[in-house]
Amino acid sequence: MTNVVLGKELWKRYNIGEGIQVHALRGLNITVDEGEFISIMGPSGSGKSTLLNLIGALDNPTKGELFIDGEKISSMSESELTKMRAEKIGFIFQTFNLLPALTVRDNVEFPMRNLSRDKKVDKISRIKRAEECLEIVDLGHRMDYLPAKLSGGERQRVAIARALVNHPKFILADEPTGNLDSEASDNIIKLLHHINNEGTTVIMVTHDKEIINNTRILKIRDGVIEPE
Amino acid sequence: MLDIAFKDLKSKKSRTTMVIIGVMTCVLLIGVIGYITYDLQESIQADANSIAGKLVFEKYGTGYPPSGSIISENVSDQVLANSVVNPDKSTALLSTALPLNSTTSVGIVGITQGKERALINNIKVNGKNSLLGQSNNSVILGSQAAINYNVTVGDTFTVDNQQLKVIGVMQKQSIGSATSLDSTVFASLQFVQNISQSPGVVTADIITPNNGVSLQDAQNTLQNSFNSSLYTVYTQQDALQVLNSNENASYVFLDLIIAMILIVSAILIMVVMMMSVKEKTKDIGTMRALGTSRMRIMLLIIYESLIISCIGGIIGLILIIPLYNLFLLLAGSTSFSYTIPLSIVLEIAVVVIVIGTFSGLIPAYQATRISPIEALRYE
Repeated sequence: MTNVVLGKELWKRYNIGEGIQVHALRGLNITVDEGEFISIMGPSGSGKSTLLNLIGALDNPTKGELFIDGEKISSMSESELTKMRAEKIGFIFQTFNLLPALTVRDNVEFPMRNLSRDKKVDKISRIKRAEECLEIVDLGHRMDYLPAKLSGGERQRVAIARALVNHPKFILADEPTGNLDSEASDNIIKLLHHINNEGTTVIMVTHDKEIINNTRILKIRDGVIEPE
Repeated sequence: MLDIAFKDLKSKKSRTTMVIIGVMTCVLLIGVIGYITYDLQESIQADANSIAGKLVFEKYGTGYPPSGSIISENVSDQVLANSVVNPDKSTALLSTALPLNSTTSVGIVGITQGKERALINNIKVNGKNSLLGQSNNSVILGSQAAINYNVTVGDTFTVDNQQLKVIGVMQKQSIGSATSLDSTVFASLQFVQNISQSPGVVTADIITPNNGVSLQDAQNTLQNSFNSSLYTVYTQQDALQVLNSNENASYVFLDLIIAMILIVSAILIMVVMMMSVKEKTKDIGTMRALGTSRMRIMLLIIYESLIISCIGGIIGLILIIPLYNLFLLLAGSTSFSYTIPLSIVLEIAVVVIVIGTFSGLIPAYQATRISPIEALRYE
């Protein structure tokens, strides 16, 4: 099985001024295989967010090697990381992060505009794909709504459709149920499992122990992953 | 990104409307000032056109339109009798002021009867275009003079106890404010000499060179024939130079106002776009996380700035004519403009695009510097 994410001896150091350095990651190793559903858990300050930023190609490690879908991203330039995010990673955020001026359909279609020239598709195909994804999350009837008109659960489902639209190698979900009530949380987790069962790898960062059933759990503490 | 820029602006209706109104006001002011400048230049050109291909013989310099010069009729006759001068299309003229009311006056120009072509050759005249064979008190009026005296062809009117008979009214010479010719009353030389009590003198000669004689040769010949420290022979170009230099201070003043408006307009859009970037920090972070390149983020902000600028520009352009006519009305004019000169439309188009692009540049650069990690945390 192919490694979707492979991190070897990942270190991340931050300078917080006056010569003080903080090590958020201390030689962390991580492997995520294709088709897995991973839950990353850990207390505040354990390095969860830093790991999320690295896996999400939002940041580079200070030391170590990180591969996404076989490509070494730990030494990629900023523009190469941007391309990687557009084509291989689907993001789901705790606060949904939908673009408020765009309709549900436009929000889901948006990431397809970011594809590189060789993968670009015309507007009709983009809209068709966005509508397909909205049908998957059962929001076909809300396509022309603005995000402000939707409930929290619906917004997160739009975010999931948006994460799926570019056929990413994996979906990175940062506390996807953090702003939802228990019923909406259950629905979102069911949806993520459904997507995972269809073959998409899911990496979820969460505090919530109730939503991690049937996932491989990685516990992170003091910048390293505890043995499973 | 253009469609997203539109949708973004649409979602912030009040702010977008306020900035568009601001830009529109600036464009309106620039347009009206541009129109005033254009009108001024047109009037000058139209004035100078009356001596296109001709020479003016005047005493003491090139003070077109000739008014401050006094030449004896003998000298004038010598000039007109020179072999380089076409006597049929050349005339002596005497320029003086005719009272319009207690505070203002209109220029009256006396010309040799039958030689009107020397000055109003290309101008269309309603009624008669020559004073030849007409009574001594016959006059041909410029369009504005006719409006000022409220008369038309065939009417008579009295000024300064002199009864004048209108035999022709010239068509307007420029699209905007009146030129010197528009405001002038043409009468016979003898009549003007009588009413101004200036027998035996003229102001200047308007000279058309004889067939086969170039303007330059005629100018040189006449200048060499008469004392150059006393008399000057000048061309349309010389007159244009004098007329434009008279207005230089006005041009500089108007240009300064335009520059100030441009700066205010650019700052207005820039500040609003900077606020917009700040407000959209989280959205920009989201876009960056979703793989939108810095270049496309930059384009989004510049498009927004351009859209605001262009919409303000178009509305401003539409309102220029009514505002300019209001300005003319307040200035006491009775003739109005109904078209915008292409040069002003182009000027505003350039202004709008330049302001829109440049005022969006700094906010756009600011937007590209937003770190997606920081922006995603931003509330």
